Amino acid sequence: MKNFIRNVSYFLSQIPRWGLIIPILAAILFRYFMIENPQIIPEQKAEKEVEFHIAPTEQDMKVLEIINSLPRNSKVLILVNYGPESRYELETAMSALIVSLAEKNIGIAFATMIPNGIESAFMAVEKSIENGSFGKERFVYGHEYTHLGFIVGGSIASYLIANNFSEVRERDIFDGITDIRQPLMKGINEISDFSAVFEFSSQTFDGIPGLVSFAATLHEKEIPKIAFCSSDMLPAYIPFQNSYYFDGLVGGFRSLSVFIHEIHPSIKIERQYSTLSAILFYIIGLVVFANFVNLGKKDKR
Amino acid sequence: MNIFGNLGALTAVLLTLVVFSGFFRQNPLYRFAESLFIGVSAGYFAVIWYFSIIKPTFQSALHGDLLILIPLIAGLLLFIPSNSARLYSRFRFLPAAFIVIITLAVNIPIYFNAFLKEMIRTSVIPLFAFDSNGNLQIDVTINSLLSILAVTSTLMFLVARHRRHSNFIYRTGEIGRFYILVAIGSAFAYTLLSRLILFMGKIEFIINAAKIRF
Repeated sequence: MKNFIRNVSYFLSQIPRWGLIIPILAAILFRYFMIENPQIIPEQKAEKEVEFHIAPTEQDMKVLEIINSLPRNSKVLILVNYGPESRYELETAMSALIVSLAEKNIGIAFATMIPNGIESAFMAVEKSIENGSFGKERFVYGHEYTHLGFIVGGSIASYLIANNFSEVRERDIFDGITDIRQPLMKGINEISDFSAVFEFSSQTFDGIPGLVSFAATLHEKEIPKIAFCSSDMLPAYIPFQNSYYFDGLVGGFRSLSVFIHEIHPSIKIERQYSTLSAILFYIIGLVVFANFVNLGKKDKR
Repeated sequence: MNIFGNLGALTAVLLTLVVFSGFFRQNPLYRFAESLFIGVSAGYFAVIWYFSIIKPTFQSALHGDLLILIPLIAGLLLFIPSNSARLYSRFRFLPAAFIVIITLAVNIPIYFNAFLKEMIRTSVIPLFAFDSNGNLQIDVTINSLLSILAVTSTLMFLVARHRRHSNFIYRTGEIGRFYILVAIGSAFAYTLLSRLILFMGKIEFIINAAKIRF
């Protein structure tokens, strides 16, 4: 067996690297353009359905249950703590959540602890409205959703949101006084007036996840808290998964894909997931191939 | 939407391609895109900071909320030039010390609760998990036991690595070192995955733009 592996690796080391990398890459691209995304070619307009095999885990089900149990006409707070670097991971999930909340007529107040989060929130709202299955004819700023703006200070900002929300909600992002111009914010005087708090995050504040510092300073106020984080933030969020800081965590592309698929099947994530899986297999293949080649070269020496 | 009718989308596609050209080698177009990105980011951040902090703060001060003058003065103190011979230069340390103290005051309880108390609690509880029928959930129990081993061995490695201890502590610390390597490796893999998704998103953006055009 050992000799067989050595022979194979020696054989591979004789072939120029690009001679193998290019055909594998071509196979991936072929799969993407011809099989998974054939509408790129003008003659083939019909999209082929891509099956989604992943079943939701217990944690995923818990998050879905919390969202489904939110009362109609209530209000939720969404902390948007991601920028363009995680847009492709989190934006679709956030727009799926917005579509789902809008169907139940739940008002959404956005706030952000990073400057980039302002744009991210509006882009997700835009994406939700553009979605074909968006149930509402009108989705008006100030009535159905609002943005309380950039709250400065990292973990101090989360302390403010948790304990001094009346200060935070004074003005919105367009400098509008919330009481007068924001009917959505009527009756919201403190954080417990929201029926849930969500965080979409791609960064930590002073090494602590935003929702963790928020929950740690919340002082026994019962309010469901759900964190959505990008793949690179998973190591920071996972340790708190079973703690009282979160009631649910959706982290990483796999969980986000399952969440989108379950909460709003009309938003197609299957193709993206399938392509990403193919690319990851390609990378693993490259790593294995590179090691084989290196092994062969060592033998040669 | 026609991509060529939308100047913003066209610019985005072109700039994406120009940035990708940096994969091969540095070129003037890549350097231009890099500088443009830094400039636009700085401008965007300046506008956000102005409208989110500076303007509302001054508005509050003009409406009689004079307490706001305290942080204003504290902020201005940070600009005092460094000159140890002058007594006034020591005032610049006051706001810096205040920032450090407040950050510590807020963060220490959070760190203690989140990273020590709660993380150890969630590693240990439930040590033996049972389902609704009272049967032992072997997978969850093994996971809990492994978590305890990970936490204790990692702590042992971090605490005792510079001292000569018994063979037992050394061996346990080595297990902890293995766990740290696994943690670093998984963090790196997750970061790679995240960047790949970003790359994929950009490719999809270009493909969609081309699809609309052609």
